[in-house]
Amino acid sequence: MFRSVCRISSRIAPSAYRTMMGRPVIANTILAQRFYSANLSKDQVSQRVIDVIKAFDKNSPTIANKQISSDTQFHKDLGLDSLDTVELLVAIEEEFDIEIPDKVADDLRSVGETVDYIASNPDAN
Amino acid sequence: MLASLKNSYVVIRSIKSRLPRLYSLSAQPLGIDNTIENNSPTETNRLSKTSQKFWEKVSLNRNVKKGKIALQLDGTTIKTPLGNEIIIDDTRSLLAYLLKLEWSSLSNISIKTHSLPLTSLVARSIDLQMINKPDCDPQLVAKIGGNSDVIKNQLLRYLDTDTLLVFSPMNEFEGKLRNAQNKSYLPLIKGMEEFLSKFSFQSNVQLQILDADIHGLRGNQQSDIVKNAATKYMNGLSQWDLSILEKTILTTKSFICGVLLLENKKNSSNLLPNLKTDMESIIRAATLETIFQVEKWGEVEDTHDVDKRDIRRKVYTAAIAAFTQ
Amino acid sequence: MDKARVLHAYRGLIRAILKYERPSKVINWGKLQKAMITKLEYSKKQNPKNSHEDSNRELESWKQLDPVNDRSLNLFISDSKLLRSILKNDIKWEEKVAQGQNADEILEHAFDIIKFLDNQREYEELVDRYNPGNKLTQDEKVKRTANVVGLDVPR
Repeated sequence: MFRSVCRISSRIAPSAYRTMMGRPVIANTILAQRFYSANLSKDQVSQRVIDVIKAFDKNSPTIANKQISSDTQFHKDLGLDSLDTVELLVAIEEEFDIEIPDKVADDLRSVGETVDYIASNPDAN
Repeated sequence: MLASLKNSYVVIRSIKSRLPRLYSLSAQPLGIDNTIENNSPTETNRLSKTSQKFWEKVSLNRNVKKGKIALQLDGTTIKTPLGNEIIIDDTRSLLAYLLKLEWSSLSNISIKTHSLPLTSLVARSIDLQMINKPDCDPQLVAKIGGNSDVIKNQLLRYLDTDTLLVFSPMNEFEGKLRNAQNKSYLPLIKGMEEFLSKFSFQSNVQLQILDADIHGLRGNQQSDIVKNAATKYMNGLSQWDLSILEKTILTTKSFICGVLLLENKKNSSNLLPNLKTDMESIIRAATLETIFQVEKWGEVEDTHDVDKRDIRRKVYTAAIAAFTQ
Repeated sequence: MDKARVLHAYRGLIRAILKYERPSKVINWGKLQKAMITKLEYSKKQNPKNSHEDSNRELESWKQLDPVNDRSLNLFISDSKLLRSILKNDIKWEEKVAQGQNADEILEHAFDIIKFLDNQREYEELVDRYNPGNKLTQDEKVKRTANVVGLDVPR
């Protein structure tokens, strides 16, 4: 739990300013956010995706120690089954405040493919 | 890391022995929708004012041999308003999972009674089972608003003015509402008549509709043939299913919707084709008039938006309880 | 094809449960945050001679924590193991869907659960929004009611 706190605080990203209800608090923040999200670099996306994968170690503690690169495949390299992958992708959706359409999500098999999709999604932040 | 938190619970722990009773102190008269969600018993009120919840862990205790699952807080089984333990068949393990989710997701800010719709329905059906045992204390029966015969009679009355049997005049909404009602209700009425015929010696069970263009404003009453068939149907239901029927009928103001929900969730494979439907269609049928009102005059904040969710959460509550694997 | 339907239903369930759990998790994080700050500050006071570099850093990270706005605190549902075991061993949904046995009913039920969770959550959000007074104390309620009709409660 601690690790996740540190991870979060080390990131100065203006995390989604929203209330619990998912409603933006002030219109201005949305604009700022959008502007920011347009600048979300691939490296940033990549780092955050890897952080989420590392946090997903409750079922398979081995993941935390694995080297993760953009070539890493969810099933082949991390040993995730299809339902694990669904959970992981939902966590990534949550992290970037997007919803990945079923059709896209069904085909995401590696870290690199996922990062590419998020980096190309203008709503990601 | 949580060790420091534990200390603060020590004080709470002493009050905690009362916890499972929190739920058991709210007896509710029945017939009208006085389930725990709408009721404000003093004890739960006090609890919600003190803004505390007194437990740390919600869990399910499964007894594989007996095929039962108990819903527990810190190892103690939660009790219903009449003091029965909340234990359900493990053929409903998905429901058990959702009951657990319901309790573990209560925000500590306050225990709001409308936050536990699944638990209230399950508690009611468990209590109904108890009070229908032959030697039950009449005081307990009174507390819950009567035994299942009383409930069945009350539910029968909904068949007289069933939402799906009342037709609007042609001159409202340029006839659009009436056309939609014809399209949606008529096949269901026909299917329902066929369904009830199975519970009647008479071959011709006919539901009396109330057509605003023909009958104007008056009461409506079903024939004894219909009432007997419907009663016979209800007599064949378990207490569990009866409470689901009750919940749905009170929510939709429609006996037919109650039967549709129960039968579609229970044994849809043997169901008459006319009655096969899904929950969203049941909700649409029950709220057709509101749908047209909102379309014409727009949505009123704090009314339509809340009601829309309210009827859905209640209908889906019943649907979840009705499902067995 | 059928496998995909199962995955879509599961994705919907996970999303709905995650959203449903969020309000209580936000509160729990807030409580933990408060408790940790109190504890760290207390231990600083108790041992004034020690170097506090580590605990200062720790304290700072807890103070910066924003449970309401930080989505990354709630990325996973609390008990997916139990849910999966029920779906797999009790409902046997993958088997049944693969064999076409009540496949539609089972998947439809999954979506009924999703709709329940979403509507229950949205209902509570709306009730809270329209009745902000629910969270107030009795005195505060009386005072506000009086103010609405142009009065003030006597001091």
